[in-house]
Amino acid sequence: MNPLQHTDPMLLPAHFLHSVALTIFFLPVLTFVILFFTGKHISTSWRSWLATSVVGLMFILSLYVHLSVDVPIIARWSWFSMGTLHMTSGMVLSSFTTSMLVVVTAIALMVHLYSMEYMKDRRNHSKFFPYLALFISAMIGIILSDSLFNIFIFWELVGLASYLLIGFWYQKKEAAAAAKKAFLYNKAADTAFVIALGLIFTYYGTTELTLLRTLISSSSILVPTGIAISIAVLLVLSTFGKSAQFPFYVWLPDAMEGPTPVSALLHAATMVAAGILVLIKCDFLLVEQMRWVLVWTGAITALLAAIQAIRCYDSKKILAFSTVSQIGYMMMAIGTGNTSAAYFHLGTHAFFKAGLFLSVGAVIHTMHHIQQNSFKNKIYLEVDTLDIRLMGGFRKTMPIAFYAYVACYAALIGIPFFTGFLSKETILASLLQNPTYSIPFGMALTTVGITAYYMTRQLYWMFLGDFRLAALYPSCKEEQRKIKENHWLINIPLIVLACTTLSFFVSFHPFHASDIHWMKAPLPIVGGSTSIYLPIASISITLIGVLLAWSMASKEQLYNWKQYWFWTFVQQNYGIEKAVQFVFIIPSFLIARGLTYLDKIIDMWVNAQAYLAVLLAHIVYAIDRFLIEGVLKGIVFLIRIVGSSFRSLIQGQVQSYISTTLIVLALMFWWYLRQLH
Amino acid sequence: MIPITLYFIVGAVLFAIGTTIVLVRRNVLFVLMGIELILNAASINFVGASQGDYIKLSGQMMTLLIIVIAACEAVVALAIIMVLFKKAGSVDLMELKKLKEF
Repeated sequence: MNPLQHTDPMLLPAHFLHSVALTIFFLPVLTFVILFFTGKHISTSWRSWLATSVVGLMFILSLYVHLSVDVPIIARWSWFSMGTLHMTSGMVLSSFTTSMLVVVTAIALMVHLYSMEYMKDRRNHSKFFPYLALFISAMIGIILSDSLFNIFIFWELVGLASYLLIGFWYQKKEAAAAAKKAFLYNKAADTAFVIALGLIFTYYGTTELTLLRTLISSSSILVPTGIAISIAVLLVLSTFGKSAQFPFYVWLPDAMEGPTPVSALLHAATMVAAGILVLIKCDFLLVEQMRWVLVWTGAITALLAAIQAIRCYDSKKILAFSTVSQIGYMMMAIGTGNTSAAYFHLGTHAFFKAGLFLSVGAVIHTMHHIQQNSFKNKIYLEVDTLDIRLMGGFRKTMPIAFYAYVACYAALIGIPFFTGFLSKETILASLLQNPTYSIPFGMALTTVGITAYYMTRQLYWMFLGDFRLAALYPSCKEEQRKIKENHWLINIPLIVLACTTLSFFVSFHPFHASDIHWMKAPLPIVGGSTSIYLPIASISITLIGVLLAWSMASKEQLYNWKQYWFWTFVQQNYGIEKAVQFVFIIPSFLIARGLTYLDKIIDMWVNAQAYLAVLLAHIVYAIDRFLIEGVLKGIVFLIRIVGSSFRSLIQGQVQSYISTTLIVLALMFWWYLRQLH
Repeated sequence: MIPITLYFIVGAVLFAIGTTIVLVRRNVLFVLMGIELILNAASINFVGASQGDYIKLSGQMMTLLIIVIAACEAVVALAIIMVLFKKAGSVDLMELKKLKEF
């Protein structure tokens, strides 16, 4: 067959809603430009209010668009043409994309409100809101685009924005390293995206997803099976990078070096959601052979990340591992073909994970204030303000953060009447439907228990018991008494996000999610209630996890526990980095070293040639210098001798000139006369 | 009619005297006078050579021309000598060796 058969997609006129959606997309671009270039020339509060109100406007517009959309409407316009090649870019508005738009803008609004207070006195503030705006606009681009090529551009922009925000406090060495790590792991995965894009364009002739869907479903273009599988493999690989799946997920725990609101946004709405979103959009490209890879990777990632969280003391890293684990569930759902379950979990996870990050961030904010205040009293506490070993007792001092945390916690571990329960049940049910996936199902169920365990442990150490920082540093006792609730700008997002984790927010039936009303057009949720035993099993496993954690946590040795080799291995990310080191970095260095030697040999050859040329030049120079120039100089010397001998006769005297002239004249006359005769 | 040879003899004598003065005397003023003598020798030769040429009188005309040129030349030469004296402080030709190259 002849590849490169470019299909010219039909251009479709834009609906009024498309222009509204474009406005939503361009508003943060505008904020980015304004805030980035005005920089420090406008005050912190102005900057914060501008960015936040723009996001609020975006949220309202998104709601409007979501409520107005009935059937999917597509607009497609010409992007650029090169010769016979006409590239188009399209925008699709369906209940899927617009509800995602609402989720992203809602989370972004909460994060913005929160950041106004949280980031107020932090370093480098003038760059924070522009970067957030860039992040959000890129994410909205991914959501709305219909062309895979456009999606790729926004995909890379998301990568850039995450790099800038993870390394936001780039003066800290760890933050800069984490940003670099995230960027490189993502780029390694993005290479797969580029190749997939090239293959799709070569074999299908278009990157418009709507067209591709019809082309594939009508099988009007026959593509070799190998190519179809390669496209699926590459697409899946690229999403593994962005959505932090095994083995690419190691960048995500390190990314906790960024500010907490950024972590909330990155985990809930923008970065890791992008991979799942693209997979859901490209679901028709995933061939059957690829499905089990997704299920297994999701199961392995979910389990491994959950195990890592068990012995983690960094309050944000625990949440990071739980995100990795939850994204693993979404991968499993996509693998089983139940993309709506994946999307459902993505939506619920976005809210409760943002809530978790923001409530933990509120505690960290307080811890940070304690550190700063004691620094003002000339006591420098060299402590990690993220360490849960130093927290405790915040239940009484910061009840709003505590209750928000508890609500989101309940949603995450899957307690009935909370959203997380419903979405997790759907995924587990769809796994259970396929008997070949019994082992991944077992792993997923185990992960439910482990999730309950580590989250309860975090809850216990962070909010219950005594304030251990004060116990360790008696100088903090005074500060401990002063701990109070945070500013309302921090608390309002917490309250709102805690409310969204209640199950009636998505479904009126507490045990069954067949009717997800905020998605409007209900997505076909398969297997919402396959068996009554599944919820019972998962609830009991959750309860076992919670009780186990409750009994173990009080006995846990916080500082000098015995370090088994297994936990060392777990804490080193299962040696993924070491494997990367051995498989990629060391061989490339070896190749580089070999090439250096080769280069040196080539250099020697080149140098020898150069030496030869120089030698030849020296010989030519000698010939030139001594032979040719010598002859010339000899002639000149001769002429000079003759000239000076004549000149010495005259001595500059006028009279001797005249006499010489006369003598010569006389001689000439004499000669002339002699000639005459 | 004076024979033409006499003219030429007088001219030659004058030329010889002028040349000798030019070559021997060391004062520039005398050298200038010698040059005048040489010019006069030439004029006498012209006058002598145009003997019998009553219509055109080309010899006499040339002589007039030479006198005028001599006057001009004397003026220029005297000016040069004055400047020379101002600059070099001498009119002795043995001391004026500026034309020598090295």
